[in-house]
Amino acid sequence: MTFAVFAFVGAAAGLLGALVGVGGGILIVPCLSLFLKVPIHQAIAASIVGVVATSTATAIRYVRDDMSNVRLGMTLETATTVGAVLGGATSAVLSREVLSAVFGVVMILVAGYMLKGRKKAGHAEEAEDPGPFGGSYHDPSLGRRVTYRVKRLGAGLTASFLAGNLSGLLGIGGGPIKVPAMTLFMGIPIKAAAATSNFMIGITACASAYVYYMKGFVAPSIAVPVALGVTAGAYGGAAVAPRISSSRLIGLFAAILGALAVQMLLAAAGIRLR
Amino acid sequence: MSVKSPVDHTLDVEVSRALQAGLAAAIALMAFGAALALSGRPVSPAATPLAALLSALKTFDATAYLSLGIIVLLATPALRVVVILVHSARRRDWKLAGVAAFVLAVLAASLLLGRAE
Repeated sequence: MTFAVFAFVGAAAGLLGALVGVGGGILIVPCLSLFLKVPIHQAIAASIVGVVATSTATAIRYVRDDMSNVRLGMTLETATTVGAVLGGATSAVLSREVLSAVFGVVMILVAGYMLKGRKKAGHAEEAEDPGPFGGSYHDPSLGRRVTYRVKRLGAGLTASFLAGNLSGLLGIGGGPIKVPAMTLFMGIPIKAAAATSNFMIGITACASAYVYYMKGFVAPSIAVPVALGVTAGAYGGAAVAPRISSSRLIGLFAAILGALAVQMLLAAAGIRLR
Repeated sequence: MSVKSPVDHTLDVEVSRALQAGLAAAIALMAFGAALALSGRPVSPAATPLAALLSALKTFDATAYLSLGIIVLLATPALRVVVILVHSARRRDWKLAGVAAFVLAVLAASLLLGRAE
């Protein structure tokens, strides 16, 4: 029964993660630690394993379908991985309550910016020439090819560093920072941003995953069902995502961020919902 | 009409194949480990240490196969970066190769950091 519960949590996180371009860590960690009473370090370790599984499963499809921008993703990863390593090194200084509070506030801000910039993020800023970092993909919901050019790479690198920092601190992929940064600051269409973020997330999580494994925080009886479940959920999400409109994706993403932000802030204050 | 060059499309295909291979191997190992666990073999609370992994695999230890599956899964992101590095070096795209090499160096540093702590 416990194996099935962990697998269900992973499947739900994988499905939602694939739809909005996050690795599922923002869902897995709260569910495991708050609702299933898993020790926080084991929950984070299981989350990292799930994040890598989600990223790998969805990247297979997105890369093949030309939605992932490998060149841009790798460039942004130079900042993200450095941030992740530094984030892991500083995690011992900050308490879990402070980290949860900071993350809760950041999630609320990101949800607000996503909703505020909804019109802009919902429509691709198209260009004829993609430039050195831009890309092109076929959008089934629009029924045509979309070509975009990347703007403000510096802002994107800064946001990627911060995303990596949070990844190392909290055991997540950093997608909630990367996707808004790509859509709002860099002018990238939401579907390409989500696909590129999914491509990047696994690499970012890898930067801290081996630390947790070496520390003995990876519990196979938790991490394996989470990983198997999230892989199945991610495959389903990747198949459905191209047929869902961008506006719905953004609205769902913002709602999830808002709900989880409330939970994180309550947890930071020592208040449990159950 | 595709804007992406044939070279970049070939890279995408190679990365996709690497991801598929890594994920398939990881799932197979995890599934085998889960089958051993369901057959009654005990599962340890913590993953099998790397130094003891090979000997544990020979005895069909459930935890060892689950652990190896996790290791292969966690190695897949690095594998995709290696594919990008090799592909870009072959094509003499030194900017992308340099970026990939930098990311691999950071991943290696994080592994060493984990061992040192």
